[in-house]
Amino acid sequence: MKNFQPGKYLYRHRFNLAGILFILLIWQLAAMAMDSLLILPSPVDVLESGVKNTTNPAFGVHLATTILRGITGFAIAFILSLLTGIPAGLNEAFRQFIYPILVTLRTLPVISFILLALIWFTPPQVPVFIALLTMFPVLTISIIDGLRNTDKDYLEMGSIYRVPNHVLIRDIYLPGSMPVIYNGISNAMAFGWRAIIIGEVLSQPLLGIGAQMQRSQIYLLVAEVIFWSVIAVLISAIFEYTIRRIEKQSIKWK
Amino acid sequence: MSIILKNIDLGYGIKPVFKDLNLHIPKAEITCIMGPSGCGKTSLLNLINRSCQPDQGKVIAHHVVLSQIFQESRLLPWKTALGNIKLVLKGVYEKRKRHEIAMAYLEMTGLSEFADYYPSQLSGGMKQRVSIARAFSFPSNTILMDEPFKGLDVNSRRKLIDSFLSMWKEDKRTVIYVTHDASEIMEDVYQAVLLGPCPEGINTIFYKNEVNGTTLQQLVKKNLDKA
Repeated sequence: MKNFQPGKYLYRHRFNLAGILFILLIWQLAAMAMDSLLILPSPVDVLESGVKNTTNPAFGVHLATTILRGITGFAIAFILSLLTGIPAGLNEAFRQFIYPILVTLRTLPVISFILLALIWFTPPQVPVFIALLTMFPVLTISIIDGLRNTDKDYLEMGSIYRVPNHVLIRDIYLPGSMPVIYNGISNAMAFGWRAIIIGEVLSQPLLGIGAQMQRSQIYLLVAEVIFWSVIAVLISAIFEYTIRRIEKQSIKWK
Repeated sequence: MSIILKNIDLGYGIKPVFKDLNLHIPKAEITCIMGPSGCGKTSLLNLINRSCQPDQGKVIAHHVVLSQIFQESRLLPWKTALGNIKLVLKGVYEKRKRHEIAMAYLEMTGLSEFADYYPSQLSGGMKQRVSIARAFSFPSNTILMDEPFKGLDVNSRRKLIDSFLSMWKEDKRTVIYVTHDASEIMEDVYQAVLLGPCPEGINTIFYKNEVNGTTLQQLVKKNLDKA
């Protein structure tokens, strides 16, 4: 980033910062009222535990493992959703056929997947599988909606000029659907990170943020549980920010 | 490669547009379609480009390959001027040839400097130039035009018509040109078809060679004033 001016940046996001400070304030007051490390540690306690944790070399490994699981789950889900979403977006019969499956996957509680996944997979695989299953229907539905809302005028132009089908999909259908698909990706990622961490908590692999949370909870290290939660929020926020940046880049034609 | 519309009924029963319409559109000539708004000028083009089917009768168009210049240019906003032209050539030529042809036609319409501009960065007149370049670059034998110069100022309209005509004289394709403005009828127009209000169909057809002394444009204008 050239010409980065922290003053300007802070000013532009002053209301966001005010919101964050407000949360911290309420939290601090509640912690003072409880006055117990075991029930609700204060932000300062969490910060201390954070410093202790982040300086530990294992921190990076846990963080990287969870992120890698998220990216793997997303990549598989995205490929599968292109393979089902594109034909379903173009063909009404296939869309009607696939829709009940998508709606079922989208509405099933995450815990049902996890209980089954615990039987079917090894602990490190469970979170990836859970992420994949939560992201897949969200991504697929966004692809279908995007394709179905493609401007008919452009399609008519394409058909008059006898544009081949694969070009029609790549150059007319997909670019026109990108805003809807980007929203789908953003939603899928938000659900995905939550699902991965729940998966990690319940399947207890050796590595990962969720596994660390679970261990901290067993030893009643509440400050650590909160610390890892903050890390989870940050991961999600950074990915959301990145997706929106990529989206902005890709629609430079506007 | 002429086009024949034979005993066409369209929108029968619901909202009749045509009843027993017959029209012969000769090869490599310009046919103007004129008439009040809502008389089915665009429906006529839609019959020819097959985006709608007649209820009765048929459209005979053997070996006709179409290009179309639309009213609202219909350039893909996510493609550059060059990219929009190359897109329609994808099923026809290999990559290098696509680029050469697209650039050549942009040059002919005086837009080679704007090859990498997106439609949002071009004026209305420039977008229609790209649209004309796209129509000629595609190896069609027939060009449909749906009021392509509507909404442009007189000056750019004049320029666009001139540049269209100079390209057409080099490469004579069958042209079906829908307009509501008699001043757009140029000397090179072979026939002007006046449509009456729905579902009357064709009112009169004026031919270039019928004209003695008065231009086709004056003839059509006189008739439109009468109606």
